[in-house]
Amino acid sequence: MTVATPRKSNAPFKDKSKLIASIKDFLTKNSAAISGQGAKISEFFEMCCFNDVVEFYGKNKFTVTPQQLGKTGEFVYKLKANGSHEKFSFFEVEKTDKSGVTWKFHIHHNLQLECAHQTGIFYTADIAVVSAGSVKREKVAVYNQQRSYCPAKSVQTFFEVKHMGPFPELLFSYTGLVVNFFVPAGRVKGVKHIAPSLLISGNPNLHTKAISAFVAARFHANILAHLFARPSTIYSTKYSKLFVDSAP
Amino acid sequence: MVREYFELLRILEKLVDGQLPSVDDGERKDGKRQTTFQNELAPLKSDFQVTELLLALAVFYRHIIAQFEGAGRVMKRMNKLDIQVVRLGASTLDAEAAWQMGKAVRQFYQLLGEFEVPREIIQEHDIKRFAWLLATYMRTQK
Repeated sequence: MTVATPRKSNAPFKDKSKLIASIKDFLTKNSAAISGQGAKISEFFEMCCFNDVVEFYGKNKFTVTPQQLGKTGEFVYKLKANGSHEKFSFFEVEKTDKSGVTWKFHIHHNLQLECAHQTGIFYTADIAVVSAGSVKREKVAVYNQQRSYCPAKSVQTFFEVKHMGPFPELLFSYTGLVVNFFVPAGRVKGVKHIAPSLLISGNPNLHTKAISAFVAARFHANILAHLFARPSTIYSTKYSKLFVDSAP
Repeated sequence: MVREYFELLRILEKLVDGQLPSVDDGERKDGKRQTTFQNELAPLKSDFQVTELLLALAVFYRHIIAQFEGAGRVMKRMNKLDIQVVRLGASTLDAEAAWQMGKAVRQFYQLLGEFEVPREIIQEHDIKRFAWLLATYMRTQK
């Protein structure tokens, strides 16, 4: 007869030296991967959110096509606010609805949006979904340099990405962007977009959940948090969120 | 990443020592105020070096592992669209880099599994909740 021996727990505080040795071993084995990625590591979360937005359109039966790829077919991410949009890649999403109307939008990374209430002032949205062909490259009013931007009337929706935990100042300040850069009036029924959203990696507490509900009710904007643990929040129908109609 | 770790560690030490208010913004747990929060954190004092190590793992997860996971998902989707390389400024992300990152992610989770550390502790952003989750976990292990 064999007697089962109780399994020895390996909990960290029971054998600290083993935990330290395992961490050292992990770092040694993966030092190349960690140091090799360097400064761009911080961009991955934003890139991932960008792709999740694209995935939302893919899941809603849009045809997704990458545009303006690099010379060797690589996708060129726009990491900064400045620079011509013509030098960077973006996604084109297209769908013909039941009534035969074809909808075509472009999904850009770090695109400047013009204020909905005053021309000549801008904000760079981390992710912007705009009407196809609406991005302009021109000299604007008093500025010397050309800039690439999308007029507010052509903005379908936009997303701000924050790699941190949600806190009240962050959530309330986002509402200013929605008020000033999103045009809710005059939208037409056809296809739906996710309403302007703040995408946050960290998880909310009771207070920030209450603020998120307030922001949704008062500003018709989403605070989508805890994206590390629930990465499909953006595109999955499992997670509730607000939607908006399309800008004409 | 290092600065964040030391800032969080400083807060954690104060929380454990009861030098910070345990409740703010009307934060409640299970409908009652956490008046015994400091007592609940007592297990963290028993071996503070382990607490430090697990906090370091949590910060490392946030800054490196979660980012690697994201990069892996990006590459997977890009491959579906016949894009093999992503350019980020002067550097590139390709299948080889994605594989290396995927390996690091798997080994990190193996490490957590080996020491029976629940992922939800490591994924917690809020330092108070991290402390509470870790203390609760430590209590159940004794």
